[in-house]
Order: sequence, then structure tokens, then C-alpha cells
Amino acid sequence: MLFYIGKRLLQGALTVLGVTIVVFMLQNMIASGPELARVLIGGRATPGQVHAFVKEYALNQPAVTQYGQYLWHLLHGNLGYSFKLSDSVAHLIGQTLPKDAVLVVAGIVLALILAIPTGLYQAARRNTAIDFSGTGIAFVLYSMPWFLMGLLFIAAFAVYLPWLPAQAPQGTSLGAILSKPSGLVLPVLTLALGDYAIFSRFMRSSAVDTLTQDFIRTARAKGLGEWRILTRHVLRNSLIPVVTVVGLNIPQLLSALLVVEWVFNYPGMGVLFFNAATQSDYPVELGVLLVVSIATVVGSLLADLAYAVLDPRVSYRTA
Amino acid sequence: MNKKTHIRRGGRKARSGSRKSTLRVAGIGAAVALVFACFAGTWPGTSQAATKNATGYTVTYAQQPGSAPNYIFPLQGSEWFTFENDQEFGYLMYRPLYWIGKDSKPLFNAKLSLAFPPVFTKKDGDTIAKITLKNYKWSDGKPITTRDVKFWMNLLEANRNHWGDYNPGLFPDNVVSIKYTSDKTFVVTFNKVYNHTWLTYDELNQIFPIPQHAWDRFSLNGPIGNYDETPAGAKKVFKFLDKQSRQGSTWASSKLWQVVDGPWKVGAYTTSNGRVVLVRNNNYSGTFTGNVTKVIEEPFTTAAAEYNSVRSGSIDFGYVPFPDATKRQIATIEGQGYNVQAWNIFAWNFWPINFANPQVGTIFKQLYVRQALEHLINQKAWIKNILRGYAVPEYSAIPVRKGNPYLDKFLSTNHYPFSIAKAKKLLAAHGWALDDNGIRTCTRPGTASNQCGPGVKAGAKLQFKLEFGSGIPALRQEVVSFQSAAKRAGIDIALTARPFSQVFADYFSCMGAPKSACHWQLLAPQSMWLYGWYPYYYPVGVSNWGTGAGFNGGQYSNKKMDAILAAATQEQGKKSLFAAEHFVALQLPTLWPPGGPFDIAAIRKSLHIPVMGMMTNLYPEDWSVGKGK
Repeated sequence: MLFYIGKRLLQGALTVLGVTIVVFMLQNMIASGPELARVLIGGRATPGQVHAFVKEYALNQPAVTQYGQYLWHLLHGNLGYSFKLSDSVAHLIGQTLPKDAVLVVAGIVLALILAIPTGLYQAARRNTAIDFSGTGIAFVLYSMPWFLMGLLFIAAFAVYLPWLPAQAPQGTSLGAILSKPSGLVLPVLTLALGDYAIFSRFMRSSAVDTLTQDFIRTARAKGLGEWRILTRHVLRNSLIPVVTVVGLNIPQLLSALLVVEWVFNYPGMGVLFFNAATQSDYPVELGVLLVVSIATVVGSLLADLAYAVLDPRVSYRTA
Repeated sequence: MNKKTHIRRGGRKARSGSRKSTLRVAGIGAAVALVFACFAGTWPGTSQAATKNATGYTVTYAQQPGSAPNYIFPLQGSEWFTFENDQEFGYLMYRPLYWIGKDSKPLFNAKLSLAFPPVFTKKDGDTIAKITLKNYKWSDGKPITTRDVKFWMNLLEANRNHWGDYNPGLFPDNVVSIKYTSDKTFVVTFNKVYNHTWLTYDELNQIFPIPQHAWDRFSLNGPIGNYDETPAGAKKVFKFLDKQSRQGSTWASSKLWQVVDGPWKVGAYTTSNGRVVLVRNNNYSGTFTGNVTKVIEEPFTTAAAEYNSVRSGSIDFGYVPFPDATKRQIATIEGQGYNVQAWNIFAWNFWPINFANPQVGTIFKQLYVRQALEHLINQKAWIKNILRGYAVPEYSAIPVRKGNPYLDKFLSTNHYPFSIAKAKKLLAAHGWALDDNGIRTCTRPGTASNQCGPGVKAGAKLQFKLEFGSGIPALRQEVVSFQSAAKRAGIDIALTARPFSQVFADYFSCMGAPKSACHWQLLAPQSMWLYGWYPYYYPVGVSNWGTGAGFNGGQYSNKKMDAILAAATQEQGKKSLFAAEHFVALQLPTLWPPGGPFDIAAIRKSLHIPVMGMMTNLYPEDWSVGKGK
């Protein structure tokens, strides 16, 4: 098991390294050297100021040299310093990542809380009106872009029925965000319902498969109650594909996060990334993408490890 | 068969069990709804605005998207020299020696200035300004003295190449000497006889006394010294302060930035999105006429997100994005308790022309070509149909707005009104004939008055590339309208959309660059205001149209213009200023599209704002809650 984890982590590290190389080179292709300096320091800069900026950030070095320096700093825990935000990339990520963690965890948990029982129930009552309704709702939510869902929620619950704030809580610390939970309702709901649609479909499909298994028939034959069958036998076996989807959904969730943060003005990493991308703030861009790629690799590893927990037949022991 | 039976049986079982399940689901649903309803009823809901605290009110102001403050040290490099770092932030804490902006007009404000008006004299062809400081204090109780002015000047002189507002030949290059005659008085000698208003508005206003007793050090815990008195020491102090300023997370607690002379100081700052909380400086030497004690400058991801906040009533001082500024929407916002008004500022919009472009620069150098292009801009129609009536026409760099002291009849007149016929006539009269593709081609090269003009070769075509700022619907409509009119006049315009920051960066890309690297021809960065007369409030335009000037990205060069601009900075009175502006209006060193306001402000009716800053300045010390208009 440890060998397997070690192997996967090594593969993950290489993947992350590859991501940084590709992103770094793409950034260099978009703008570099004095051209980048001019974009960053704006119109009033004299050629002397442009030159000074290029020198300060070593933008005159070849891309490979610059990347080597970046990697060296990275190995020493230094993610660089923002061109625009008067802060280190590590601190900026440290400021925004916990806020996103709250949103993502709350979103996933709510989605699972809604999706697992619904999927299970639909499977148990498949091809009935309730099942068709659930499927219809899931398809509508699945096909609806996150931004549209967010805007509809704002229009409904912030503008026409002024029950909840249109924007997420603001503030530097996580405490400031959590101190106004009403502002989190709509962003979390938007994230959760998008995921709910996917998770509930997988749960239903997986539960339908499980319900046709011999051991379920045996359980019924032994007179086990339907509720008990569903909760004790079907649920656990049906969760495996859902866990896979949750793990693989992490990158998609992070892109959804960008949209949700954008719509609800949530001060998280998605907005940080978007602003960095539009302002050519390369160190921040690279830092956020590094975190996202690590999250993707770790998410996928955790999903694989969860199989072993949920399904005793799965083993990662070496022969 | 068995399977079918089984399913049916299971189905029945499930159905009988389903009643319980349905009840459970309904129960959970009801509980969720109950929790939701409880929270909705007891949580703050949507109205977070204008809250009262123990000493006064907290007001929320909406920042423009992507325009958050990110630097606090007043001696800013180019990358930090922005409206959001100054007018909306820095000026609230660190005041310039002379404040320009009075009653929303670009005029000297004696009340907000840290010094009494300068007394000018002439001696041996130099201008001497005697300046006396008022009795203002820093927030830590220490008086503001000439040592603080000297500290600024020493840092500025040693680090002028890092200063974002540095224009070679102008301040501080044109300062011959400064004598600090007492704690409160100093004398500045300039190298020429200058227009006194220009000196006050454009040069002396760039002096910011900064607290020498708190900032003259090399490290946070190092001793205070007179390190600024040597160039090497001044460079080191500047480096230290610059580094500290780039650590936004420390602003609210730093012993450097908590020493201010303005009415506000930083209470909190979020580096990741630029959210600022400003709190009162209780030791401010000026006056607080309002009852606002805390200002939150709220960042927004998009104008749409900001507008949602306005519509849900959670912002006190926000804005209505231009695409949403329909009569119906405005009425809705007003019905929700806001006053809506255009926030006009002392600024202008322009479409730069590249006179240095190796392909078409010589064509642009012909005045009649620029005149023809200006004739193709339908300002009236654009204002009415594209800009929803919120913009004003522009015929020079002086905004055509009521109350502008620098506007006269000449500058209020469109000398090149929209007329495709006139554009055609001008081009035909100079030897440009239509080719088979309907594009005008030079058929009469030469320098005579009926020929194409110096440098233009036979066969040259009126084909231009125009880059415009992407993501601005109104601007896209404008450039398409321009392209269409140009086509009818025989000019082929190829449009390219690029992000605003890149279009703006292109404007300067040819300065000091080899000709082969100079690509842009025409630019349209914005649909509304683009450039404010800041910090050059006396609108001469030396830095804009002077040969080789810092903001002359199109590299317009005209000896007569240089002489006229120089005269406007040196002769007393406004006559030479108007002469310069009239010449700019006729010469078209750039194309003039309509110009708009900073934004369409939506201000809560209970929030009284006596003066809207003439350059996006905020004056929260005068804002009052509860004294609605």
C-alpha cells in the first residue's frame, strides 16, 4: 500500500512539474521581457523605468533560466511575489485557500447529502413518476451553467425576495467569512446543486446495478426489510463510483469555483486567479495553478484509496 | 420471469416503504426550509449598508472591478501610479502640499492644502516660490515641518527614475535649489520664469510632506536618522519604504503607515482582492464635517456583481454599469432608495494615432488625413445611441462640460463634425482616388497643396489597423460604426480586439523601440474617459503633445506645438493656455471620440455627499448619513 502511495505521489509530482513547465512557457510566449514590463507598469513608465523593472524581476533572462530560478525558489518553499498585489504568492494563497476550502467542502457535503439519498431513492423507485421527476431535475441542473444558476439565485433570493445577500461575505480572515453565514448560502447552494446533478445520477445508476445483484436478492429472500437493504447493503456498494466521481470532479469543481466566486464576489482563489490572468500577474497565476494541479493529483489519489476502504476486493498490495 | 416478479414485489415493498421514506424526505425538506426561513429572518439579510457604530456610521463604497489599491507609499513607481492608489486611497492618508480640486472643479483648494498659497517672485530669469506650511500635525502628534518636505525632496531627487510621474526636464529637474529657512518656511527656486498657476497645479502639488521622524530608517526596528541627506542613504531609505509598501498585509498594523496627516488611515486591508477598511485619524488637523467614521472600499469581480449589490441594497455608494443604465433600470434603482447621477471628472477620452508607424506614419502626418478621419466619428449619434446619453462630445483634451474653467467657445465647437462627404472631399482634393476595391490610393504624390503630401508615395493606400479594447460592448459598436463610415469614404479599417491593458501598453510600445518593432497604427482603448488631467491639473498638455514627452506614445511632433506649449507654461494668464488648447483642437494629434463620466453613481438617499471629487477623489470626512437630500 505504501509503495503504491509512494509511486502515485511520484507520478503526481512529475505531473505537477509538467504543469508548471507548460504554464511557464505559455506565459513566456504571451509576453515577456520589456513587453511584459510595459503591460505591468503601465503607460507612464519611461524606458529607464521599464529597464529597471526588467532587471528587478530578471525578465531579460532566457525562459529556461527563469524557469530554473522559479524551480529553485519553489524547492525552497518560495512561490514568488505578486507583480500587482503587494504580497507574496504563498501568503495570497494562504489567505484565499481556506475560504475556498470552506466553499468546496460545504458544496460537496451538501451535494452528497442531497444526491446520495435521492439517487438511492430513485433507484429503489425507478421508472416511477418520482424517479422521472428526479431525473428531469438532475438533467436541468446538469445542463445549467453555474453562472446562470448563480445569477438566477441572486435574482430570486437577493433582488426580488430580498432574503439573502447578493454577494458573499468579505474580509481578510476566514473568521470574517464565517461570521456572516447568510452570505455563504447562495454560493454553496450553487456549487452544490451543480454537483448534486452529477452525483445523484451516478448514485442512481450505481444503486440500480447493485439492486440487481444476487446478494440483494438473497437479502430479500431472507426477509430483510427494504430500508435495511438499501442502507446496509446497497448504499455502501453503490458509493464506489460516486467516490470516483467526487475525486475526479475536483478540477471541474475548481473551475466552477472560479465562476461561483466571480458571480458572488467571493474573495477566494478563483477570483485571485482570474485577476492575475487578466493583469498578467504571472507569479500568482503559476502559484494558483500549482495548487490546483496538486489538488487534482491528491484528489485522484484519495479517490483510489477510498476504493480500498469501501470495497474489500480492491487491494493495492504488491505481489 | 422470476426477475420480473421479484422486481414487482420489490417495487411493492418499496412502495409500501416509500410512504415512510416520503415522510422522511418531506420531514428533512421541511426542516431545511425551516432553517432557511429562520436564517433568512434573523441573519443580516441584504442590507448591510450604512451601519451605525458607537462613534458614527460605516459606509460602503464600491471599487471599480480590477481597480483596488495595492500600494501605500506616496512616492510611487510607474506600476503603482494609479487613480485607485491615489484619489481613492493614498490621498485620504497622505496629503499633497497643494490640493487641486474645489467644488468638483479643477481649482486650487486653499482649505485642504497643507501650506498657504505660494508667494512668487522673479529673480535673474528664475521663479522663486516662498512657501509657508500650516500648523498641521501627524497622527502621532508631531508637527508637520519643512524637514518632512526636505525628506520627500531628498528621496525624490535620489530616486527620480523610480518615480512614476517623472518627466525629464520637469519637476524636480527644473528646481535649481530649495532653502529651508525655518520649520515652517522654505523657498524653491525654479530654472525659468514659469506661469504661477502651472507651477502650483502641476509642480508644487507634487510635493508630499512625509513623516521623517517615523520613516527615515533602513529597517522597521532600526534607528531613525538623517539618512536621506546623502543620495546613497536616500536610495536605501526609499528601497526600504518601497519594500514595506509592497507588504500589504502589514499596512493596518505597521508603525510606518499608521503615521498619517490625512483624515483617514488603514484599519484593514485584504491583499488578495484589495478590500480596504479606512478608519478616522482622530488627530487629523483638518475638520470632519460628516458623521462617517469608517469607510469600506469593497472590491468587485465584475460590474455585474457590483450592480447586484446595488440592486439588493447592500452598497451605500456604488454605480450603475453603462449597459444597465436604461431609464427603466435607473427608475428601479431610484425607487430602491438611491440617487443616481453621472460622476463627471476632469478627464478625456482619445483614440491615439501612431505617427511613428513605419508603414502609415507618414500618411498620419498629413493634417488633412487626420481631419478626414475625425469627420468619420459621429459623436452625436454615438452619444445618443451607444452611450445612452451619458457622454459628452470632445473636440480637444478639455472636457466639454458645464463649469469647466478651461473651456471657451472655440473648444466647445466641433471643428470637424461628422460628414462622410467632407472626408471624401478632403481626400480627393489631395490626390487620393478610389481603386477597383473602393480603397483610396495616392495618385498624386508630392508636396503641393493638391497632392498627397511629404513622404507619401504613389500607390500608398488608406488602409489602417485599429486595435480596440475588448470586452466593452459600447466601444465595439463605436469602432464598427467608424469602420463603416470609413469604408464609405474609401478608407479600409481592419479591427482587432485586445485586452485593454495590452492596448494601453501598445500606446507606449514604440517609444525608444526600433521602427521594426513598432506595429500599432490606430488605437481605441476605451469608450469612456481614459486619461485624467492628473496630476497635471493645469491642462497645458506638455507631457501629452510635446515632442518626446512621456505620455506622447503616438510620437506626435510639431515645432509650433512645442513652442505654444512652452509658452503656456511660462507666460502668466490663461491666454497662452487657450492658444495651446485651440492648436491641439485643430491639429488633431489624436482622434477625439466622445468622452464619458467616471461612472453613473448610485448613492443611497440617506448618504449625503456634498462634493463629488473632480478626479474620482473621495472626501468621506464630509459625508453624512441621515441628512439625505
